[in-house]
Amino acid sequence: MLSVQTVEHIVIAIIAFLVLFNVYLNFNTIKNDTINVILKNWAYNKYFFLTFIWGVLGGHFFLGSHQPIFGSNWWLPVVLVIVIILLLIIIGKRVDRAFILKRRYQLLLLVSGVLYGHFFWSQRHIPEILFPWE
Amino acid sequence: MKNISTLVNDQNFIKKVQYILIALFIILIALDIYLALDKTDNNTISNVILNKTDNGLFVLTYFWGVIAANLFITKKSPKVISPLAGTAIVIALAVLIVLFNIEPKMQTALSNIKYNISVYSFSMLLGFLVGFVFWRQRS
Repeated sequence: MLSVQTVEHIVIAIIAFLVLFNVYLNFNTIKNDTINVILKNWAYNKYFFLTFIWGVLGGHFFLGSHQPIFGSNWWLPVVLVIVIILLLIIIGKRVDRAFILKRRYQLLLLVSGVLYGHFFWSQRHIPEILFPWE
Repeated sequence: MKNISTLVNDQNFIKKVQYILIALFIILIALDIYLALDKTDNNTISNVILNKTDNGLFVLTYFWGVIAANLFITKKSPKVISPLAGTAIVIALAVLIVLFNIEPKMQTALSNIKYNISVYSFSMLLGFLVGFVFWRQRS
């Protein structure tokens, strides 16, 4: 059993680790090895699902329409987002190593992710979601 | 700043960093699933982040926008300001947001409007614009 406080400490520790590690990677002698560069290269090549996930998580945590579009079917947006991400991964797997996704599609993925998180799958729709076993 | 010519291109090292990142993603996802299923309520990473933002971390959403612009929107033209100066501006703005306690002020301003607009939509957009101007990577 982990208390809320322990989880907070874990999250803070991970963020601190990432920041310090990134500072180290920035000032060491190897180029293009910072987390930012690696994630950018992933997002622009095979793993453009990352852009979509970043958008979805932004909408999921920080935004949220008053009512979710799927109503009380809380599981539907979760299943749907997993299906969309799997599809993006499958499409990404098929592209060439030298492939570079266009910037405007990155923006499209980011914005559609935010809209998905806002309208379909947000933590801020209603205060309490009751699970069927509760 | 180190001279660029002393920097080496080491694919093996980059591979190791990639593995660390992938391991971290997997650990986070596994941990969150465990937290969602265990007996303690509301201790998932999502809940922790939600509580923190409700307690005034307007800055977290600001960083969401900054990082989104940095990772996903590249720049084709050469950089106008140095990456270090850009980073300094991004962090300085975050510090200003905390110092001037912007979130409650925005909340009051928005509560006068009849539409229910989230404050975080402003901070996310602000972060994105700041990242777009000062903190993008070259394509």
